[in-house]
Amino acid sequence: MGSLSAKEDGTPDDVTGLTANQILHIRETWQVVLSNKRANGFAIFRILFTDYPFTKKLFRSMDQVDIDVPEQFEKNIALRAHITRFLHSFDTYVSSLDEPADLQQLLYDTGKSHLRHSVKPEYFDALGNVLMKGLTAVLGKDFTEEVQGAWGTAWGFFVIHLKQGLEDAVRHGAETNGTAAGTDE
Amino acid sequence: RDMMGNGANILLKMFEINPDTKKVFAKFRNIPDNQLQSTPRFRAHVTRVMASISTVVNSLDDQEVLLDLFKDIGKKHYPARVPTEYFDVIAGAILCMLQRCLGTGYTAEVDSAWTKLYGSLGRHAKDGLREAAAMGTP
Repeated sequence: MGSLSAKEDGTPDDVTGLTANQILHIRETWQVVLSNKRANGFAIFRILFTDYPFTKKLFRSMDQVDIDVPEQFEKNIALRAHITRFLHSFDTYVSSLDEPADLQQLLYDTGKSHLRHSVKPEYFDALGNVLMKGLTAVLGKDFTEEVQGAWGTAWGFFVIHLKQGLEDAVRHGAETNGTAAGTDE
Repeated sequence: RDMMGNGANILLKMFEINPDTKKVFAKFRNIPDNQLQSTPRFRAHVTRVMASISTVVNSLDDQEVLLDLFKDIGKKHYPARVPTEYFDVIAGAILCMLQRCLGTGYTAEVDSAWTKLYGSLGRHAKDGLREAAAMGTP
């Protein structure tokens, strides 16, 4: 399946901007990340908390954790659970790279779900830098210019819809004063 | 092997067992069942349900994370004000889907394992849901 744009001949999809080849690159390298979920998941979040220390306060009891103390970081259960959910969630995006409508909806909903965690839309921009740095660390020389370009294009699409979902949720919350009894699920 | 298809069957089965469960989905409750599989919002929920189950199955050896995952599932359903009983309905629908999928592979042992898992998941998800309600989070 997938959209009708001729991705087979290397044309970028007109919604995501990704070519079939780029999708392949992303999926292959993503498998490498998944091959060691715990370590690689923590590596990504370690980069987040190191480069953007303000994000620590978004996570339950992370404030008291000294990320330089061995194991203290990895022992945080709430964080460990979030990292697991993050990786599986990200996996649904990677699986849907060839289904732009599905992908967009998933990203939008994820953005929205971060409202209750005091996340601001611009925080997702930080994650882009973290992702690239994390992939460099995990993939090493396999993070070629081509692969980097593919992930950059994908992230460019992801971040738009993640932020949109959250922005809409913020606006909706402001409009209804947080008394909405339902959700747009 | 067919996350979208099998996942869709879980939700459709749930709607069949108890049509009220469809009503909590504000964005597609008025769309006929036979059109849901091509509706992005329905597909997104199916994807998330299956990803959730995958996450749980992948974390079976980590009790503490498992508990957090179960409760988080509950919490996530509070904004839509999902009644706690609906977790039991979907559990039934999931077992039904597994039976269909596995055929003779769905042994008494398999049934016992999944029933146990969903018993635990349901219990803690309901706790998570009640906690979210008590905290009055949006």
